[in-house]
Amino acid sequence: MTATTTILVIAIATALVFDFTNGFHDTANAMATTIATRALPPRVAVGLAATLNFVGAFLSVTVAATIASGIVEQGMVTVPIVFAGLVGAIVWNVVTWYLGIPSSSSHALIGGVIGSVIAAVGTEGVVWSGVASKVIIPAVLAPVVCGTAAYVATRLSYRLTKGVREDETSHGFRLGQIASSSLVALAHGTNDAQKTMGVIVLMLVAAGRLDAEAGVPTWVKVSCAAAIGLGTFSGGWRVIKTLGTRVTEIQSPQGFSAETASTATILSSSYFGFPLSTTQVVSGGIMGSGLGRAGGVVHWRVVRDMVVAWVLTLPAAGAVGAIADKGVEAFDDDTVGVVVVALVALALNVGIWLLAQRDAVTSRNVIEPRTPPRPTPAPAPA
Amino acid sequence: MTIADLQTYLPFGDLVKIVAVCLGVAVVAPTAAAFAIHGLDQRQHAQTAAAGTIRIAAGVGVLALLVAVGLYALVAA
Repeated sequence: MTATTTILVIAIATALVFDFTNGFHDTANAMATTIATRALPPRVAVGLAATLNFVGAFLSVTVAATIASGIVEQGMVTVPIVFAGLVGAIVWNVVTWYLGIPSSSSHALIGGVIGSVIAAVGTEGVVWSGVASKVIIPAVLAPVVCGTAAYVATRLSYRLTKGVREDETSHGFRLGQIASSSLVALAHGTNDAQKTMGVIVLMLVAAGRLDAEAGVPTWVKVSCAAAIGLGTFSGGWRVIKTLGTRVTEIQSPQGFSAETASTATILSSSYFGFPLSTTQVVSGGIMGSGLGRAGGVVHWRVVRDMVVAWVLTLPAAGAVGAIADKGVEAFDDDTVGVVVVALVALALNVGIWLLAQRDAVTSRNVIEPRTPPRPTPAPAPA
Repeated sequence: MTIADLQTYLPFGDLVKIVAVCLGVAVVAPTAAAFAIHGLDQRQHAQTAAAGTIRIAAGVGVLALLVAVGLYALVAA
């Protein structure tokens, strides 16, 4: 195996690991509210999301979502630079997963690649206008647009079902919630698996292994779909717990409203070619639904932590990407550099995972167990 | 920064369409769901069972239409 092939194989494996972390980090986007309102049992919900993410990856065949397009000068991108960017994105995804903070995997990937490009070729390798129009402005707008829609939907949901028995209301909205969250999962698979496909194609083209006009090879589609599906199935329970239970206490009309607003925002923005982060859209939707219910409480400290993480995503993933790039450059032989950086990143991520096992969140404790109704005391004998 | 400059970063036309779609769905979807839920309630009573079934069908039909439009948007995008 030549040195170029070795680097390419490691970089593609790293891209698939990123795709996996993207899946488990973003399971919450589709299923947090569905699990929180008990519309579906946790394992069934992530199983459904995993299947729909897998299917979604095949729905669109155009690599319109090539992640670096319009954000970095593609002519300057090499396989080790993309590899370093992926390392930055993976580390940030795993750190935010450990902290239970829903942050954007797409922004982590963009940040990682920007950082590694700056470290490798300087700031002239970054298209700053692209960063503003594709990352910063959408990041500000996404939660506002979806939050407003979710607020309106929540107000209407409660107002229009006034006087109906609560069990019927819950049952009806839970069914609707399953449909809307399924659409979110499908859209996530289509958009996010495409991004990893785009990264792999970019590396194959950069390494001279694929013609730029050749399209996405079938093995790339299948492996990306499988990676994001498996990642989704593994749960990402820590982020699900935050979005489903810590931002606000979600009832089924709110869950339905948040997921419906999220679906509308994601699909309409995707249709009009305006890139929004699924994570930020759904988080905004949950906040809007929390504000929309009379007496609903949004825990602003949790929201503040999320917003801080959103602001930090680009620079933090970028910093790790830059360090990874310098790590590769520190060795005379790129192959040795890539192997060493990959092993260090692996050790770091395994360390964080082991740390997380001390207070593991699983499908069993992601939501509070249902408390059985208190037995009515027997009437005292006369 | 002039409005023309801002337009290169933020496509106002598309943004207005996205907001319109989101608010439209935010009104139509809960209305349809509430319509179906009222139908569920009506089916509990013998006198209004048929009307309840019609309400459920209408509400679910509108929601199914929204899902179909969403799937179209996903594939067409």
